[in-house]
Amino acid sequence: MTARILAATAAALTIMLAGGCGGVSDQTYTELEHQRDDVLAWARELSAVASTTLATSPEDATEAYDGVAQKGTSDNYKSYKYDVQADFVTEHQEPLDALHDELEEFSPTFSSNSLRLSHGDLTAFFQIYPKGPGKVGMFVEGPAIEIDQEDMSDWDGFVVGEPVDLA
Amino acid sequence: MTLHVEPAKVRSTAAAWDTENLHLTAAAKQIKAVGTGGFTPTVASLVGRFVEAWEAIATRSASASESQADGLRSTAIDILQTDAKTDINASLALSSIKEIR
Amino acid sequence: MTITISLPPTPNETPEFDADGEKVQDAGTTLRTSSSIFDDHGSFVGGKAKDSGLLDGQAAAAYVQALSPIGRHADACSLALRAAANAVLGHGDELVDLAKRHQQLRSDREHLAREAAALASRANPLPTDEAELQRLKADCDRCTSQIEAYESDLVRWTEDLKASEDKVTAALRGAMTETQIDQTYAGVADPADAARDSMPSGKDPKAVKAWWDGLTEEQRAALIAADPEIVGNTDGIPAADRSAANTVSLDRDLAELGAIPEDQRTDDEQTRYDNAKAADVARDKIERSKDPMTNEHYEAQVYIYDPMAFGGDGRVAMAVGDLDTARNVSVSVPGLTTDMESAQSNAENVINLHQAASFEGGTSTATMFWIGYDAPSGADSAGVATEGMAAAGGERLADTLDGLNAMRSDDFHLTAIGHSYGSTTVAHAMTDHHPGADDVVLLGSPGAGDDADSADDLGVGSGHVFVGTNSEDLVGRLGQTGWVSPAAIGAGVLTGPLGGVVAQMAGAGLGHNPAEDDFGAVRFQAESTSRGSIPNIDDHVKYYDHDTESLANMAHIVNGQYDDVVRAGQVHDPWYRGPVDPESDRTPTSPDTDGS
Repeated sequence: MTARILAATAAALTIMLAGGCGGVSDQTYTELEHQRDDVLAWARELSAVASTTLATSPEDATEAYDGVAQKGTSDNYKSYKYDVQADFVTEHQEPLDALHDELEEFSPTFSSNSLRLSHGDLTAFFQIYPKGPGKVGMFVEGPAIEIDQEDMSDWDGFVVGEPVDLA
Repeated sequence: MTLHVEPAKVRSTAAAWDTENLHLTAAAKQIKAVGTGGFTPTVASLVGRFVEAWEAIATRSASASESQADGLRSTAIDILQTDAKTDINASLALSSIKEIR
Repeated sequence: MTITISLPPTPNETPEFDADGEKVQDAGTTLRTSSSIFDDHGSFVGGKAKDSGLLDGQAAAAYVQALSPIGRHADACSLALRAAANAVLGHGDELVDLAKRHQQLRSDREHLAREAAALASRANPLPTDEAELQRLKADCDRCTSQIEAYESDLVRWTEDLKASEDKVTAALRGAMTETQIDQTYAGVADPADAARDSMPSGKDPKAVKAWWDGLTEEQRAALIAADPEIVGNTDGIPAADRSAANTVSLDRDLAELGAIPEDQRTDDEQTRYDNAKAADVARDKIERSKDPMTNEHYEAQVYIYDPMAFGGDGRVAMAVGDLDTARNVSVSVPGLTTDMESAQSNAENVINLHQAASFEGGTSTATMFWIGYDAPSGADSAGVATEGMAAAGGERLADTLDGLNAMRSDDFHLTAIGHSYGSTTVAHAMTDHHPGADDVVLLGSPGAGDDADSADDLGVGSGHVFVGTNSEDLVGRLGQTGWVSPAAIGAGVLTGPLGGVVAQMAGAGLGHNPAEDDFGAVRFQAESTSRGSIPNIDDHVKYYDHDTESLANMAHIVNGQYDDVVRAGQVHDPWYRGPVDPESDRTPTSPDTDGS
């Protein structure tokens, strides 16, 4: 019991001490830009495979830096990841099975409505929509990079939902 | 002697005109960004001309605001220069009438 | 006997139509925001600008005299651009409708053309059997009649498109030059003025709704553009109109303040701009998100936008979905450290909740986050140790819930959800003001407020008070529990395992622990597979995460699927030891909440 009390005290102290942060190093912004380049390159590769496999082309492709859900003691984000999403309208009856066969190199695994992939520290999934037949969604994202919300919103490269070219 | 100008008020009202200039310039920019892409061809060309016309209207209104700001400052400076002949405070106030935005 | 068979004609082609009504609506929205900048300009010229600081009679008179035509022109520009914007917005709405009809026409035409071709084949060669001939004739007549109906729909569609184009064209043509604008609009009374003057003086949302319904469409549109701060934040006005007004305010702030160089912004301008940017990111985040069942993009409704409220902490509420029409509506109230800049993480929470509700079968849902009270944040954090801010917030929340009920004339299902200190706020709203909510959810609650001795006190029936508390959530352990009583701590009697220091720092003394058995609420499973082994703060912020027990259960509550809510054992507090939580021994699960 004593250990738990001490741990609880420590955790509560953490609440008080968290927050406040210094400036952001250029390194962080470089890291954010690199992640964007890496995610975008893989998204283009996956998009090319999906376009061929599903006999269609990507629609409604957008990019964004998204706050990461792990927020700690604050509702303000402390880290961000870059992601790309796009849709493929297809008449293929089993699009995830077909994509699975073409994307073996990225260790595909199925969950209920999606096919998950990984590529180094990047992850992606293709998803089908039970009430939206004919559409396959693609999401590609990188890992969280630590950067405070305020610094992120001040950064010129910060985007939320801007169109992106996957060609 | 009393001054014929309230320098602090001139400064803030002129600054407010400068802000109007910025706001109307923002409106001009906003209007310019209106796309014609969603309209039918029948309407799109007219929308393009409308956008062009209103960008110009907003820009002219912005310029008029800037002129008001400059005019107000310049009038105040003229008055203070006259006042300065008889009142040392006017000379001091002169330096405070300047564009901040 | 002679049977005459007339083969159906080939239906006329459906014309090409690639207009995008939503883009046109966006164009109208932008023009309306610009019109509001002219409106503000006119108000400035007619007001503050007059106070020149010139005391020299002649110079001052000349200055004021010069203002008159400028103000008159600004007001005329505002009215002219607003009229054009409204015409474009109306045209956008019509194009959205025309696009749906066009899609139907195209599909009808394809079907009818195929059928006509099939009938032509059946008639060549003509069947010899009379019965078959009769059937062919009947089929040809039916198909011909359907083609006539199609042709008639096509003509009506073409006429409606032309009428819509003519209307918007006339509106735009009438405001192309400054001469035209001044001739038509200079000196014309703004319809917003009379409408504003007739607004009820109190804040009774039903009276506001009645007033709003009694205005003409022109007056409502005028008020949205001219007084967006009023329309956007007055309870009783329908959410779509509030959102339109708040969009004007938000987009105007972004445009105006973004145009001022950062090093020239005043502190207030910088605060307003930061809050506007945070709201904008939250809005973008919602509109980029999709329903996991349909792949449709979500619509964001900006229900409150007041960026300078509470000394610059700001007020904002934003919904995923349509608050005016959704069958199930939820309002999520955050707690600790919440201010307007936390809008994006709160947006994520309600996006997740909407997605989970949809995944669990909900088909008509709106989930709103509500940063509508002065929550303990930043320098205010000391306020968390008392109930005052929760009680004041409860009153504001009750106003919002009353407003939602007043603006709807139908029977919809409303769930109030509070997290952390927000749960104390929700509890206060319910116990102190009795707004019309159907269900209450308290998440990671530090206490249900001193006014609630049991779930029944919240006024919705104890079976509709739901509690989600992760067993290792540090804040969830802070409620007033038996002899480990924060009230006792306040009285200087420091007893119990958590002790006074921790309790005071994390804001104890906020009432009963609603997860405890004697409170009498329904506790649902809310453990996390990444649960810590000791009380911690990370487990306090996972309730809205996808694939968690809590999100799945909240989705069921929002959907009104009470039988699907997975109940959890309640906390028990024997007199001889600290509270016992049966959930801490259970292995957490990770239910799928979005299909990915």
